[in-house]
Amino acid sequence: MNPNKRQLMRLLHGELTPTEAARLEAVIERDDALRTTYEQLAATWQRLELAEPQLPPIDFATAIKAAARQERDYELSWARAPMWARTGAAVALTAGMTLGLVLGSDLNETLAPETLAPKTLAALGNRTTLADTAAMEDMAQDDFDLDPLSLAEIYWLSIDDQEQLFSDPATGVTGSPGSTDSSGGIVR
Amino acid sequence: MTERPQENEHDPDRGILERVAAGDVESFGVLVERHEQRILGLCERMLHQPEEARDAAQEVFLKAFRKAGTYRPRGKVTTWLYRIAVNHCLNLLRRRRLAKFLSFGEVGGSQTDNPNDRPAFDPEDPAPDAEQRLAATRRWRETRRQIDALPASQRAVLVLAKFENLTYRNIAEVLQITEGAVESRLFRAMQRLREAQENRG
Repeated sequence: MNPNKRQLMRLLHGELTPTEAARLEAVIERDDALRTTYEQLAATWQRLELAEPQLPPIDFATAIKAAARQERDYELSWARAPMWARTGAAVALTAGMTLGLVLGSDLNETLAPETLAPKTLAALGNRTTLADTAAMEDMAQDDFDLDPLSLAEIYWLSIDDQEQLFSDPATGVTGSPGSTDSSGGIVR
Repeated sequence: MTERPQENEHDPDRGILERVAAGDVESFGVLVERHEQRILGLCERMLHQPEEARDAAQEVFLKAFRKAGTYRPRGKVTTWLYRIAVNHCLNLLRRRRLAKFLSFGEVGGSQTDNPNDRPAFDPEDPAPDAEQRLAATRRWRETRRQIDALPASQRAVLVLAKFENLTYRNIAEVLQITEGAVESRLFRAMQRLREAQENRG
């Protein structure tokens, strides 16, 4: 880009020293194209207007201070907690994260829309309605918006749902997606 | 327009921040009071939604509270706060864009699409009559729409230059880019805005 053109915004923004500004203004006087660009930029710059921002609410600082104090007290309470409590919490957190990862990987296999519906259909045979399939596919797609904890909850809910779908109230027999015969019926 | 921050002067915020780093909540309150208007204004101009801007400004200060111990006195505390604020707003803008993409609909930034809506920065307007007020509101709305259409990196430079009145050097420090990058981003932003204004005009 023409170095003088690059300097135009600096001139508009008051970034140039008086000497630099005078030199550039002299160039602008002589160069029609540069002058046109400058005038366009200046007009655009002038037209950019926003209203003054709101004033902070009266209790803005007080509320933030209270939140900060709460955070600090919480951290201090942890720092003062006995070693066994901190160790226990660290172990529990690690175990929780590991469990979450394991469940998360299972969940991807279980609820992936392209695999879940055919499996379910095969397992349920004629007893599955289109509405059932659509609902399960919707649930699988919605999972992308949920955090890991909610995914785990949905996982267990889906297990419960499947147990319900496969149980036969007449005989009390309960099936699972794996316990199907070649025709897709429940093995009894 | 905001007063341009002076450079190379003693920074009174450093002592305050040192006390904040030591866990002094009262000093933190002082820091918030000194900068709340500036940070809230920046968040509003970046996000264009007053409610979201208030939440964002609160989060910015809490981040500053948490990170006070990591501050290195290379630049001014104001610059450091600006950096936290701009990064936070850029994150929010990214999330907003993602949410909009996922929902295939309007998430945020849509409140001015309805001409009957009041603008987000509703004016304590000095304009004496209703006609002037209405014209001002239209201009602000138009500016917001044009700024919203800019890429986030250009938007940040433009807001810091035009509305926060920071120098190129300060903007470069806040965004951790070179002054040359500030120059080219601002120039490109201005070209886009000019095209947008021409298309409408």
